[in-house]
Amino acid sequence: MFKFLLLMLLSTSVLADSLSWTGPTHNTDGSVLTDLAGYKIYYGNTEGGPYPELLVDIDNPSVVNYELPVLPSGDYYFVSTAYNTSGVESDYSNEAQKTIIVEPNPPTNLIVDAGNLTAYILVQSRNNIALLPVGNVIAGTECDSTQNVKGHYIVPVESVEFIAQVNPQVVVAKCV
Amino acid sequence: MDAQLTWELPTPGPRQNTISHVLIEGRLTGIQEWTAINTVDAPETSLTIQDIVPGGWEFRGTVVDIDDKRSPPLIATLVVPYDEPSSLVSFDAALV
Repeated sequence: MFKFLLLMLLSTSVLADSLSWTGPTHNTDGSVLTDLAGYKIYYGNTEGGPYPELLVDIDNPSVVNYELPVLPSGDYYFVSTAYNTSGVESDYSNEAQKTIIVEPNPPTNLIVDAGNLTAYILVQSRNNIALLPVGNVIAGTECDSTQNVKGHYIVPVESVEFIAQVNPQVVVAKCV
Repeated sequence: MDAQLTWELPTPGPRQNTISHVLIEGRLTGIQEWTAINTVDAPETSLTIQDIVPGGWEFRGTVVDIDDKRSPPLIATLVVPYDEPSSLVSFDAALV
């Protein structure tokens, strides 16, 4: 006799960059679940569904978490299902939401633009950082692309021709 | 080393509007243009510049009313001294 099984809904949550869920222990008819075979995770980009994309098929019932792969920026809504050894799949679990923000890599090979050679020092007060001009940077100077302050990057102090009577440790300039 | 700017706000006269804030600008000796450093809402009367770099500084304070009318500015100067130099990296004596 064919026994159509539906599995209990799972509980899905998003933790940091992984999904975790709680597997079912019973069938929908109340009987004890003995033939759990695995889980599937689906996702969509609309709250409340649909979830047209299959993220992963995990054919191991003891696995209850999954590290998210790199996904494009956006809002994601995940649900999971459980399936048994007969391939019968449960209804969707609750929905878990995650917003993925992919930051671009910092720019590389930045140099001081010949059209904007002003060198600045940083003046910090309360929650504001002001850029005060102190001289000019030698055109073509390489910039430190790893630190961006208001669209300006650190340049070597020795590349600055100071006009102001100052001897700072950090100087920034507009780089391209 | 920090620098602290302090001021006293004027009391608006009968033909003057409510004071909104004070615009603080600064420049280093040798530079012509002024640069906005911060705005301080009334009735606050101070601003701290953190880790101010040694050199010759000029600061300019301008009162701004709620219609963005501006007062003549007042200027304050500050010379931030350099720290004493570090000790020699090494210092030895030997017979030669």
